[in-house]
Formats: sequence, C-alpha cells, structure tokens
Amino acid sequence: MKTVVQRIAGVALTCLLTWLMVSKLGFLVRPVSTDEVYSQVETLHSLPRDSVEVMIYGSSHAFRGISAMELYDRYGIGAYNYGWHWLKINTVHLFLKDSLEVQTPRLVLIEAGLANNVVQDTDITAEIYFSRYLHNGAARAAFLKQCFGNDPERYLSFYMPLCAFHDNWSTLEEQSFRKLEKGTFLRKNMGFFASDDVTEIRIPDYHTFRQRDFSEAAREELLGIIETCHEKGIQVIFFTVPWQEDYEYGDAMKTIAKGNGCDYFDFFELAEETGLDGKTDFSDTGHLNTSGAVKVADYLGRYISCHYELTDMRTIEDNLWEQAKEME
Amino acid sequence: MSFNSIDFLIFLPVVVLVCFLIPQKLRHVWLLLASYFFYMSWNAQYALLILASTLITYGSGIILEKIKWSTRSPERKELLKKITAACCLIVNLGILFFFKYYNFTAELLGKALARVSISVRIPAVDVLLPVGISFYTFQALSYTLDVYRDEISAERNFFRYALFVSFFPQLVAGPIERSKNLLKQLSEPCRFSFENVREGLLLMLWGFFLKIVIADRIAAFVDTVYLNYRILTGAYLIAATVLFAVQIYCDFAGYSVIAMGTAKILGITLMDNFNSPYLALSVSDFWRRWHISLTSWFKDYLYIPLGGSRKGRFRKWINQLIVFLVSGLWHGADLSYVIWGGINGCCQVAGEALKPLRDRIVKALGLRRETLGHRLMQMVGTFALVDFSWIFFRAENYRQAFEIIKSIFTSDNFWVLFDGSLYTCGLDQPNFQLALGCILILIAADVCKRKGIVIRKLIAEQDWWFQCLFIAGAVSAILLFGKWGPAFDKASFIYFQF
Repeated sequence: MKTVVQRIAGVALTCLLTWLMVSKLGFLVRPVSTDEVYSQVETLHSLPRDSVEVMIYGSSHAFRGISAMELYDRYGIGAYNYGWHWLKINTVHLFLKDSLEVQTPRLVLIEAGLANNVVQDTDITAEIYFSRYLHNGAARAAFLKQCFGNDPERYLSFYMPLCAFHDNWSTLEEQSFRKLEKGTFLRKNMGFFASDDVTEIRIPDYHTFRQRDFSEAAREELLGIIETCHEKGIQVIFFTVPWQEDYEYGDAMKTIAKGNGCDYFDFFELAEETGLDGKTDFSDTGHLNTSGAVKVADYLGRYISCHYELTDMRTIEDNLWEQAKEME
Repeated sequence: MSFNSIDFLIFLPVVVLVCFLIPQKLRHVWLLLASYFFYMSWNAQYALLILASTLITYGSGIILEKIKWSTRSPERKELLKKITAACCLIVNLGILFFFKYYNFTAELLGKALARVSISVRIPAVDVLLPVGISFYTFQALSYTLDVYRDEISAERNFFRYALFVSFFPQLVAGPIERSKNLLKQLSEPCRFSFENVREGLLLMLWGFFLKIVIADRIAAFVDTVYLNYRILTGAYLIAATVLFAVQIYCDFAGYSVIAMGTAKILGITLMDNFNSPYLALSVSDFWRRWHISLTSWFKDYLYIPLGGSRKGRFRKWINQLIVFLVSGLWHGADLSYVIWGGINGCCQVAGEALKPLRDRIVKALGLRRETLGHRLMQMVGTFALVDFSWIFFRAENYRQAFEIIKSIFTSDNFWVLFDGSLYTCGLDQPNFQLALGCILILIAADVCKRKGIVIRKLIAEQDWWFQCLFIAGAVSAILLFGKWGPAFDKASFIYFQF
C-alpha cells in the first residue's frame, strides 16, 4: 500500500513539476516584443469603468498616429488610444470587444490602414499569442476559432506557448526573464505611443493609388465592427493616416463607411489640409511622430467636437487626463 | 500518425488506458483495432494490403501445420510444405514487388531493351508506396518460414496473429520482430506494471531526444547542403555527410526506441534494433549493431539458406555480397541503394579477405589491438567507410552521389569548417553548437551501452524525488530544444519510406 501511495505521489509530482517547467519555459521563450501589449491592455483595464468617451483602435498607424492628450488639451475630448503594432482588422475587432467590457464610449475611431488584413493564418503568430492578455474570454475564443479553425495543435500552441515559441531559446534576452509589468508609459499618454524622432519621407500622391476592393473576410470583419458598435449605440469614424506607401483601399473604405452611416477620413487625401509635412511629421517611413499625431488629433478633434455631443472633460476636476499629465 | 505528432500523444494514452481497463481476453482485439486505426491514419485503403498479407501468411501457417501432422509420406509432406511456403512467399513478395519495385524494374528493363534497339513501352503504375510495407511483409514472412522450418507451431488465433503482423509500435519502421519473440508475448496475459510504464516512458524520452532534438536539428543542415551540393562544395559536403550519419542513426534509432518504449508500456518487450553502431570496430561489426532486426532476418532467411559459410570462403563472400545487395534493394527501388548495399558488402568481404594481411602487419609492427588507441582508430576507420556509403543513401540518385564524392575528394575549402560559414547552412551557431553538444551526450550513452551500463535502470534505481526531477527536466528539455510544433514541418522518419 505504501508503495502504491508513493508511486501515485511520484507520478503526481512529476506531472506537477513538468507542468511548472513547461509553463515557466513557455513564458521565457514568449515573443518579448509583445510584452508591451500587456501594459496596453492592463492600463486600459485599470481605468475607472465608463470613464472614456472616445476610443481609438487600429494598428501602429493609430497607436502612433493620434495623440489622445491633444484631443483632450484642445477640445476636452476624453479619448484613449487602444491601438497596437500590426493589428489586423479582426484583432482590432477583438480589441474593440475587449475594451467594451470596461468602457462604454460614445464614439470609436477605427484606423483602417490594415483593414484588408485578417489574421487567419495557420501559424501561431505573436499577434495571436498576445491576445491572451485581453480580458474578454468569449471574444478571444471567437478570434481563436477564426485563426485556428479546429486544429488542436494550434490551440495547444496558444495555451502552451512553449509549443509555438520554443525555438526562441537561442535568442533569450534580459527582458525574457523579467515579469510582465503594466508601467506608466502608456497611461501618461492615454495609450498613445509618442515619438519625437524625425525621418523625412515623401507622402505619396493619393491620385496615383490603384484602388482595390476588400476581401470578403475583411469586409465581413469591418461590418462586424460597425454592428458591434451600433448595437451599443456607439458612433463609428474610420480613418487612415499616411505613410510612405500607397493605400489601395481608400475608395472601398469610403463605400463601406458611407453605406453604414459612418464617417471616413483619409489623411492621404487630407495631408495638405491637415498640414502634415513629410519633412517634420514622421518618425519613420511608416509612422507619424508626435508632431504629426498632434496635427491629426487637431483635425479630427475639431470635427468631432463640432459633430458629436461629448463631455468637455476639462470641466471635470482631477480627471484621467489631468492625472496623466502628472505622471513621470 | 507519426510518433512525433500531437495525434500520437493523444492516441497512445487512450490505447493504454483502455487496454488496461477492459477484460484481459479483449485486450488483443483492442490492440488490433488500435493498430489498424494507427495504420489507416496514413491511408485507409492500404489496410487491405496488410490484411491480405495477414490472411495469406495466417492461412499458409495453418496449412503447413496440417501438412506436418498429416499421414502422408515424409517426402510428400516436404513437397507440399515447400509448395505452400513458396506460394506464400510469391504472393507476399509479389505484392511488395508491385508496390515498391514494379516501376523501377519497368524503367530498368525499358532502358536495357533500348540499348539493344528494342523499343518497348512498359507502362508505369501510379501507386503510392504503402508505409512500412517492407517491414510488415518481412515480419509476416518470417512467421511462415518459421512454421515451415518447424521452429514454431502455427498460431490458431487469427486476431492474435493479425496483431503480431500489425502491432502498431513497430508496424511502419520495425524492429522486424520474430514470431518466437512477439507472438509468444502476445499469447501471454498483458498486465499493467508500473515498472514497465516507467521503463517505457524513459525509452520514449530517449527516442524523442534522438529524433526531435538531434536528428531533426541536423536535418536542417544536411538538407541545405545536399540540396545545394553544387554551391556548397568540398568541406561543406564532408560536414554534411558526417552529420548525416548521425542524423540517420538518431532518426531510425529514435523511432525504434520510441517503438520499444510504447510496446514496453503495453507490457511487450521488442528487440533492440541498435547497439552503439558507430562504436563498431569493423564493417561486419557495424552490421551486427545496426538495424539488428533486419540484419538477423537476412542472416536467418537468406544468408544461411544460401549456404552461409558452410560452402567455403569464396561462396561465403558471394553470399555476403548477395545479402547486402538484396538489403540495399530492400531499402529502396533505386540503383543508389543497391550501390550502397554493394559498398557495404564489399567492405565486409574485403575486411575478411585482408584479415591475414592485416594480422601480419599488426604483428610485424608490434601493435596491440586491445589498446584504446588502436580501437579508436578502428572505430574511426569503420565510421569513415560506413559514412562513405551513406552518401549513396542520402543523395537523390547515384549520379548525384558520384558528384558529391568527387567534390569531397577535391575539397580545397577546409577553412569553412572553422570560420563560421557552416552556421549559414540552415543551422545558426547556437543550434549548431547545441547539436554538437547533443552528439556528445549520444556518444556517452553509446559508450555506456557498449559497456553494458543500462542508463534507464540506473535512473530507476534512484530515489523517487530524483526520478521525478529527471523525468520532468528531460520532458522540458526535449520540448524546449526539440524541433516540433507549428513552426516546423513535421519531419517524418526516414525509414518510413522503406
């Protein structure tokens, strides 16, 4: 009897140790470039419920393209920028659903630069991996189903990161061993990624862009975003900020926005009107810097304040945006 | 369903759990069903082939047994037995020939006839080679021949016999088990044993280490170099050929060890297919240690019937050559495999023929064969010969093999072995160094094995806490350093193609 108990205990201990090691190793080999997503998600979720009136979503073009603090400073708009690098349109939808768990915005701004890209690949990418940090389990489950289908191996990769990323063992760095931390760097800009770098670029002439239509999957996702918002009485504005490459979905985006009662701002077309300058307003060939993001925020802020009824947050004492200003 | 797939990691626990939960008398039927399911996961239709092979060999076994106990005259009985065994061999080898060698033969025949200006178009057949056909055909035939030789009695229980032919751990890449070993074990009750499960798991861990940590890692380098053999010449090819020797060993031994471990969990002991082959002191010693189940099959069912060493030295050498040429052909329907077999046969024959001369040289120089230095030289020499033959095994065809050999023997770029150039051929520096470190572990394990030290027994003798730590650590290390998961193509086992 003693031997049987000893063996059962031994097997249980082995399983426990293996599970511990596998989960710890999985953490070590994670794509560390996504650590800041944790910070982004946790920063939003740490804000008081229903405290933000305008939410901004999208890829790095949004994340680095609109200054939420400028929207507040100039127009009193209470905005949070919930974008992240490389977000495809279905991941944007996931971020939208996740934020609606804690915030009830009146207006959302959806950046459409990568609107034709839908993560459906069979490989586990960092983009799918970092969705683990999001709080909305049901939305994530639907997202994973969209990405993985019914392939159990892909699911295993998601829930056991060691499976997908174990080959990163040869590129471990100091960051790999650090705990995930929320930090304050996103909170102080209300999600916006500020950069003062300057790279001179040529803003392409939108008249020369070849126009394409969205794929069926992308169209479905865009309509899904609109539906999600409209169900909750949220207004939607789509926008695109410029970079040094052609944007081929301007017309398609206009059609979708118009057909669904949404506004669409194409800053490739509005670059001159906004005052965007290829010499001063870009941090690299793909993204606006703080100067550019302030100009976009000014333009959009003016429109929003004229067309939407929002609270002037500046009238509220010690609001989130004032608190942000006091952060290091 | 390959051993290194997620499917297998789900399949095995289910099979084991159900096996030990259901009544004893149903276990063999359950294992038979599991084995057919395992095989059908590749191609369901080919289960009919294995079933056909099973029915034919089972039937012939029963007939041979009936003839044995009949009241006919001994001569008549012998004749009938011969006819029965021959029919069984012809049908089974016919199936094997059709699926594996028909197109090869047709092509060769077509070329031969074209040389004498006869233009005949022999139609090719578009069939996929059934996985493991050479393995299970040989296993089934060994049973028929054993019954024919009266070495065993015919198995009456069809399900048990069918399980013997299709037992899933060794179905697709061996070891080619003998009825005397496997069928006998299948006749005994299969009981759960903690020791068996532990030993089986340790064996499986070792097998996975060999396959996904070493073989699949090295494969990235070898494949890159062999694919670009006209650009990556000379020393690159030397490195790739040396590493291919390790790759094929770890790939095949990995499969065999996982098969042994899987069977062990189910209470079945399969034969060990490898015994530190690269520590062999001669080519003939190598063949006593490499793919032991096939070598012994050829010895028992081809070499000895041909006369073995009983008909003089010259005839023995001819027999050895025949065995190796057939062995080459068994591996694949291509001339490069035949050449590979031929080289190994010639090395073995030359080794024996030159032995008196070597003895005289050793005596004249006052060398001592038992010294470590002498043995090391023998090992290195044997490895070089065996590795040379592997070029024909790895190359796409014999023409490519000759080009590679030419490139190797005209190497003038040895610096690439030292200046980091090797790290640009599919394996970066950390992975390359890890592979070399793992090869050192492999060598250490093989030395232990050669000295009769069974590492898994040493582990089993340790305190329980050490065993827990060891297993958890080994699993984690294999998962961390192995080539698996969605980021990699699931590399199949090299010997599946045979």
